[in-house]
Parts: sequence; structure tokens; C-alpha cells
Amino acid sequence: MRIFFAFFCLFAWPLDLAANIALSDRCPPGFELTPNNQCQLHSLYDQYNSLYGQGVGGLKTALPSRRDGFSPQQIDLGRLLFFDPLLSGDNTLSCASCHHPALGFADGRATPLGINGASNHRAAPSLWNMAFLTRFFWDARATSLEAQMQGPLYSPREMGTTPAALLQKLNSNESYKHLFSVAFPNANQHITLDQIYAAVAAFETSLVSLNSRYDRYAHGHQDALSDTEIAGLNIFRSFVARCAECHTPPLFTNQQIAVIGVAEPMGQSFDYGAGTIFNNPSWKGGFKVPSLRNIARTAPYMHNGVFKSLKEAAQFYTNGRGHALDTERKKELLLHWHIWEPNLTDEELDQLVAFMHTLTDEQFTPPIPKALPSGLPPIGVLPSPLADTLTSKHLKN
Amino acid sequence: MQLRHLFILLSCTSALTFASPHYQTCASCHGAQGEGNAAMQAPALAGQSATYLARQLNYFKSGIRGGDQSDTLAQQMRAMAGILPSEAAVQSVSLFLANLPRTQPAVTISGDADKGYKLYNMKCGACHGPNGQGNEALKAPALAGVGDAYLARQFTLFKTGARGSHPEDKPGRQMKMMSTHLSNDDLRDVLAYINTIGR
Amino acid sequence: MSNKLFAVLISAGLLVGGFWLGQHLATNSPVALVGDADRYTSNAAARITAGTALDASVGASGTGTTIDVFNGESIQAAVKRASSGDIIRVYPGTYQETVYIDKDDIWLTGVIQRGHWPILEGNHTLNDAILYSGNNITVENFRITHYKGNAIMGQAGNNFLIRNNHVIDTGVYGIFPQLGKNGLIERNILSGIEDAAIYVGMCDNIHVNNNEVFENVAGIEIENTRHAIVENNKVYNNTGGILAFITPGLPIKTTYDVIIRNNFISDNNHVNFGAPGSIVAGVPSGSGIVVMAADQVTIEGNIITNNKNVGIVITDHQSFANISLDPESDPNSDQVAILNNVMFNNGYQPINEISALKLVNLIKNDVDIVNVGTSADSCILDPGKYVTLGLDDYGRCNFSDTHGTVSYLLPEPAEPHPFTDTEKGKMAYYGICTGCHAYNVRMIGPPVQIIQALYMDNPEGLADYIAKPIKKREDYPEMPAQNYLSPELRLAVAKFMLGVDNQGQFNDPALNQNP
Repeated sequence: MRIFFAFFCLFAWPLDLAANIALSDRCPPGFELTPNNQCQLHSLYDQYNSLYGQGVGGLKTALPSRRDGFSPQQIDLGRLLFFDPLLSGDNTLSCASCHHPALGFADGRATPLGINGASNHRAAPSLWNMAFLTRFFWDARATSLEAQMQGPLYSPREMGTTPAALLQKLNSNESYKHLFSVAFPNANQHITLDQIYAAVAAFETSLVSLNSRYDRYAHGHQDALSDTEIAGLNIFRSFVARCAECHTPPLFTNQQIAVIGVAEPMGQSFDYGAGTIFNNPSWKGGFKVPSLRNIARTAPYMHNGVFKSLKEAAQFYTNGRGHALDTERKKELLLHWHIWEPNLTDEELDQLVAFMHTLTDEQFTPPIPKALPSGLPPIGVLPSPLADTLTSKHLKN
Repeated sequence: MQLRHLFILLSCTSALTFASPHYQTCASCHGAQGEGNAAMQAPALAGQSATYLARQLNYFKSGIRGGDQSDTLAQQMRAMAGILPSEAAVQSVSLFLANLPRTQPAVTISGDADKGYKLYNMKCGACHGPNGQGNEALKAPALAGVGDAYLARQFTLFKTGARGSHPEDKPGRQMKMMSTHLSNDDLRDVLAYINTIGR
Repeated sequence: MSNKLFAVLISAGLLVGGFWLGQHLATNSPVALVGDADRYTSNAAARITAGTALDASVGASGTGTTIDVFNGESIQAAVKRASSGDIIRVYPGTYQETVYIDKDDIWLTGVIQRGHWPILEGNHTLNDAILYSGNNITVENFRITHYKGNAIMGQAGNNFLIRNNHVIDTGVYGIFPQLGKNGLIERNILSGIEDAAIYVGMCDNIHVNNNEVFENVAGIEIENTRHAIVENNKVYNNTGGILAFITPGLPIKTTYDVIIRNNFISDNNHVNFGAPGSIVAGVPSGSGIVVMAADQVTIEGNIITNNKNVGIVITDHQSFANISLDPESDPNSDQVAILNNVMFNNGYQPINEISALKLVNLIKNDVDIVNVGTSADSCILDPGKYVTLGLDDYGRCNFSDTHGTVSYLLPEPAEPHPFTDTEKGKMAYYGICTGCHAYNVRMIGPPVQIIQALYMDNPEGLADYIAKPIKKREDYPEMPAQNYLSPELRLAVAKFMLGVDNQGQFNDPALNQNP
């Protein structure tokens, strides 16, 4: 079905033949093209309110404020850049190498492999619904997508390029120069870093997932979820499990820092997360609460990918406060007050997992470009063995 | 599968053998095998959907189609349709034509068939089918094998409102609305593509 | 000689001391007037006034039909059947279930017959008794016991009314509305809760009155909430009586504009049995009122007695154990006002930190009110009435009572922004339909242009079709049913789709037919 979908999707986009790549003048699904050529997102959640516009609450609560208003051309240019390995130092990795659409815009790995197989210590997060987030990276150190993307782009362990190399490569590509001049019509002749960041951010903010079966239930269709899934929802929001206290609807994150006490894999030094970045002792070992939308598609879980399944991840929360930490760490960390011992039964854990599966919606998945201005194969290297099996299928489209 | 073949075979045979007696009048313009007549500006009707043909005949008979002064051909056809004495006659003619093998009228219009294919796929195929074969469920007639001159003329009639304006002609009104979404150049390309179907 | 020297030294000492004292009084005079005199009389807009019933704008409408639930039947089954406006009457009996209400305007009411109540029994295995997410929910007349989580928990429902329930020995919170606007909690009795009995979290425009809470860790907690009044409650034998807090790390970052008045707050000396790690686990036993990081909290007319640690404590995040620091929350309690209260026999067994402060400040008496940490622009109306500690920076309140503010409940229910059918249709069109249908190109489904032609004057037909699509085109995938949209929304989106053009502008379909 997914292949089928992706196949037909291509009709909506201009032909991506390398020789003649043009930018779409249409907005991606979910967006209205306004008369001033901006793509404006609409959602059924727009009919609701949320206290102070924070976008946290219950079923019928508005989303947090969003980032939209990019032009169709900027979004489509961002799509080309996103899938183009030209953006890495050695032309092997694209953004999609670690944020693959077939893997929930993550990479299916515990921790990603960067340039030349370099290892990294934090999991690649999903990019769905980035338009609604205000904090980026697991340790929340960036406040915009533009700031965030400079991390992986220039990290010698990730994409391993430099601002100079990036500018040189793009500015020496006539096709890109032309496309940038279309996407940024009033700019000067040379492609700038800000334009690159803006285009990729434009594409990232177009990745919207708000039409899951859960959403149907939230908007009032009481048969959208099975009895088991509703039981899971009730555990999720109950004050026993307390999941919804941090993974708060409708985005399933409250975008705060939480210290939950996940241990590192054997032999890896403890990750102090936001505590280090913000020099805040009470955030030692704290990470940004991730959204759970499409969570069933992005195993393994946690900042370091230690849990292979949703059930394992859910199990963590019922095993007791600080159970995974050694004594010294237990003393050092100020665990979140909602981390306790809910004593969930195995059946309840299964119900929770069933509920989390209802948060899956990938209908607005954008197509992978058939060809790129760089002439490189789209996506580039896929570090995950799991992803390898998906490559051929997707490139065919 | 075999049964279906048998059925088609049977129905073809019956149509050929027992040609509708009412078709004699029609044949003078539309041809003995429903192949149409370019000189008479009569479209090919062979292989067209029977329900579509019957609907149009009834539209002609009741003046739903052919009432517009600017469309003299339709006015002629309106008069001819009046000759058919009964609903049974309408059905008989329609079935006879539907069972005739589709013909390939001469190509009179040239255009970019590749571009036409894309346009067809976006604008027309959703109702008229991926191969111009029509779609009963959507009341869409076949376009393949009808002849580009007739299609072009009808399209213009839809555009000007000479066809598809009568309140009771629902499918015609739908087509009239769609006709605004294709320029004359686009139309030539689409017809060029339709001309390639089955060739 | 030596006597003379001593006298000189004494007088010099007095001079210096007097100078220091004069300086101190000049810069930090306790008689400075603090706060606007009309603080509780001026802003009467957008809240109910004297003479209006408190429940005027909250709770269910009761305009629908009544569904009766009898012992042995399921309350949830009734909720599932109910439509907005309906009243669900639950007769006496024991109901062992979790009731969740994801609808608006539902009146869930217990019927009490000759002292027999409908009882929600959690058997120590069920999580929560009642969960609601809808607006205008009323929950009343239930006896709720033995649940592991909460008795009544609201998530984002506005205009709630929770009254006359008895909550005994449920797990974490008794009544816990969260992220709601405009809510009334009255005449409930709650006991044996291991966190807050009544916990108002991240809400606005709240009234908590005439409840009785005892033997809980916290009696009534107003957390990250604005415009709240807590009055006429009986709060006794909890670990802490009434708390006004900012909990750091939550998405709503403030607590302000809270009135705590006319409550009985006595004997809150219960041993703290809060869960390890919870914030209330850090509340010292014997605390009458705790204000932490909350602003504009006014305390008036309460009778505060026999709270062994302290009658009122005002503190900040830095001084409170176990609290993480949130750079986005102001950690101080500012503009606190203590008006006339009756306080006696508090602070007779204070915690070590307060004892130490007393030593430093040479105070021997039992203390009624303690301020720990910075508190800007706070005031006390009549400091002479109480034994205070750390209130040197408090001025004299420029207002003497809060009578002008009857309630912060809204005169009209808080409503979601009203949207026209066209606007809702637009949300559904872009939010859902555009995933498969583009305006003038083929995506997964046929272009909108074609749908407009096919259904030009028949939006009802399109609305019906999307609820139950049938496959019509061999070369297109079958459309999934959109029957999860309400009939009204299906029609709205059908109309929008038939009238929308490529620029997202809505044109009347009639115009499209006759250009």
C-alpha cells in the first residue's frame, strides 16, 4: 500500500529528471497556497483552543504555534537538499541517511553512523511535526531548525562538511543556482547559508502527521479506536502511568526537559544531556520529551536507543524510580516527579503499546526525488542494515 | 473467463445478425458499421457505451440536447432522433452500436501526444478511464475511437455552453465545468494523445 | 573613669545603632503602602459579580435526554450512548469501572436515595474513576474509593463543575482538573489522598469552595494556575493545608492572582505519606498555607490554628528541597498580601530550617508566618497581629479586603473560538483531503477539479460518498471511508471542496456552474 501511495504521489510533483529539475509551485498536502505564494498549514485542531497557546491539554486542544509560511518553491528546494548527499563532506550522506521517510524520518538504529562510519552517542530523532517544536536536539540546545541543522551538517562525526565547502559545492552547481534563484527570487546571485538553512527548514516543517486513528478519536469518532486501544489511552492519561503528563496531547510532548534515569549501554559514559548544556544541576541527565507521534515507526527508543521495542520502553517506566541507575548516579540526578512505580501489569503494558500504535500516520509522506541537481543518487548511504532493505524499493519510485 | 468470452461472442453475433431495424436511418450518416463519416461531420459510434448512446438519444428526442441555435448539427440530430418511435427502439439502436467493434477514424488534429498524455491523466482519465474507454459508473462516454474532429467540436460546444447548459443534462453540465480547465492548445495535445490509443 | 568610658561607649553604640536603624527604616520602611488600593475592585470585567450563582457558566446544560444507569449496569456504556446535552443519572449501587468522557456537555449525576449513594469502587486495581476531556462536564453525587490514580481527572475540559462527591482513599489525587478554563469545585469531601486532595493544575478562572479535606498529604493545591479563589473550605489534619505553587518544568509557567480566604485551616499535622520524588513529599508536616513561587496571592479571613510547623510559609524554588530549577519560571513569590486572618497556636514544633532562622533572628515565640527567600512588593495588613519571621521587607497593604472580587469564574462559558462551517470545512479539506487530492493534478485520488464537476450541485451526495466510498475507477486506489468525520463536518468539507479554487479561496459552487 505504501509503495502504491508513493507511486501515485509522484504525479503531484514536477518530473525530477536530472537535466530539467523544476520546483513545485504547489504546496505539500495539508497546506493552503495563499495568494502571496505562502504555504499555510490547516488542521482540524485549529478549531480548538489551548491555554496560553501552549498546545498542551486533552483530546480537543489546539496545537502549539507552528512554523509555516514558506513558499512551495522553498519547500521543494528543501526536499531536494534534504535528500542530496552533496550536503555531506564526502558526498555520501544526506539528511535522509539518518532521517529516512520509510523509517519514520529516523534511521532505525540505536545511534546513527556518520561520515566514514563514525559512531554517535545519541539516537537520530524523528522529524515528523517539527513545525510545532521550539526546542531541538535531545539536550534542547537549539531553538530553531536553522540552528539545529548546523549541528549534523558540520559535525565531523555526522555529515562532516563545512560552511565553505557547502557554499562552494552548491554555488558551482548551475542547477542549484537556478533553483535557489527561483525559491529566493529577490536574493543576490550567490547561494547563501541562510538560504540553505531556510529551504531545509521549509521542507522539514512540511512533515506533518495529524491524521492518525487517535486523531479521529480525538475529533469525536468514538469508534476510531478498539476497546484495547481505548484501554491503552486511559492508562496513558491515567495518573497511575502518567504518560500524558509529559507526552501531552495533541502533540504528545510538552516540550520540557525531563530527567527520567535511563542508563547508558555498557561501557558508555553517562550522558548528562541538558544539565551540561544549560549548566543546571537539576537537569543532569535530562532530555527533551520527544513527541510520540509515529513512535511505532521509530524503534529503537530513548536518547541512546537502548530499548528495542515500545513495550521495553513502556516497561522502563514501571520498573521503579531510578532502577536503571547506579547508586552514585541515583544520588546525583533529580529524577522527574512523575517517575515512580505505577506497577502496570503486563496486560496494561500491551494496551499502552496498542494505543501508541494508533498514533501512526504517514499519509503526508513526501516523495523521494527521482533525481537531484547534484546528479548524485538520492539519499546516499543508508547506514542501517534495516534501511538497506528499503533502499531498492524506494529508489524504484 | 471463458463464459465471458462466450457471452461477448454471442452478443456480437446477435448484433451483427439481427442488426437493429431502426439503425437503417442512422447508417446514412454514421455508417453501416457505426464508423462515422467525416464529410457529414458524424462521429463514429461503434463500441460506444449503450447507456451513454441511449441517454444522448433521449436527450435529443426531448430537446435537452440539440436545442441550442448555434449547434446546427445537433439540431439535425434532434430531428433524426425523433424518428425513433419508442424507448425500445432507442435501446435497440444503442445496443447494436455498442456491440460493434470500435473503429479508428482518420486523424485530423496534430499535437504533442506526450504532453497530452499527462494532461489527459490529470484532467480526463479520472472519469473517461485510463485508456479512454469510458466509465459507466461515472456516466463518462468512451473517447477512444470517436474521432478527434467530433471531440474537438463537442469540447468547444461545452466551453461555449451550447452543450451542457440544460439543467436536466447533469453529466453534460459536469463536462461543461471541466471544459473550462483545458486551453485550446491543451485540447489539441489531449486529442493527439487520444488518437494514439489503440494504434 | 572606667564608668565614664563605658557610658561614652554605650552612647556611641546607641548612636551608631540608631543611625543604622534609621537608615534601615528609611530604605525598607514597613509602613510603605504596597499594592493598588483598588486591586480587588477595579477589574470587574469578564467575571461574575455579586448576585450571580457561582455555577452560572459552568457544568452541563442538561438540555438533552436522560439516561438512567442502575446497579449492575455500566456507566461507560451510557456515556458511549450519550450525546451532548444528555444527563446520565446513576442510581445507588457499586460500579467497578473507569468512566471516560471524551464528549462535550455531559451531566454525570449520582442519585442519592435514603442515604444510599452510587459508589465507584476501584478495588485497588483500577487506575482512575472518572476521566474527562470534554467541555462543560458536570460530575456530582458520587462516592469514589480505592482507585490507584485519581478520583476525577480532567484533561483540558473547560467549564467543569465538580460537586458533592465523596472521595475516600484513592491513590494520587482526589479531584484533578488539568489545563481547563472556568471551573467550579464545591462541596466535596476528600480524605486519604497521598498527594493533593483537590489539585488544580495549569488552569484558569477557578473557584474552590465549601469543600472538606482531611488526612491527605496536601489539602488543596493551586498549581501553575491563574485567577483562582479558594474559600470557605474546611482543611484539617493534612500534611499541608492549602498550597499555591509553581511547579517547574511544566509547559504553563505561572501561578498568580489567587485568593485564599475564609477557610478553616487547622491541625494540618499529618505525617507526610507522599510518594518519594513527588513535590508534596517535600512539604513539612504542620504547614497551614504554603506559597511557593506564586505571585499575587492574597490570604484573607482564614482561621489558621494548630499547624505545628507554621501557619503560613512563603518561599521560593531555591529554598524548597527537591525542586528542579526551570529557567522559564520566576522562582520567587512576589506581591503576596496577608490581610486579616485569625491565627493562633501555630509553629509550636517547627522544622529545623525554621528553628535555625528563629535563632538567627532572636525570635523565641512560636511563629505564625514565615517568609524564606526573596519576595518583592509583598505586604501584610497588620503585622502586629502575628508572630512573623522574614517579613521585614513586606510593606503595609494598600487594600484591606477582597470583597469586590466575588469570583474569577466567567460570566459566560469559555467557548472554543466559534468557526463557521466554511472554516471547519477548510480545516478538514487541507488537514485531510489534500493528502490524496490536489486541485488540478492527479495525486492518489482524482483532482478536486473533477470532483467539483461531478458533484457541482450535490454537496450532500459528496458528503454521503466520502462516508462510504465505492470504487469507481480501475486505475485509482479505493478511497478509505471518512466516516469518522461527523455528518455536519462531512457536509462542510464537501461544500468547501466543491467551492474551493487553486488559491484556497472559497467560491460558491453555484457561481462555478454559471461563470
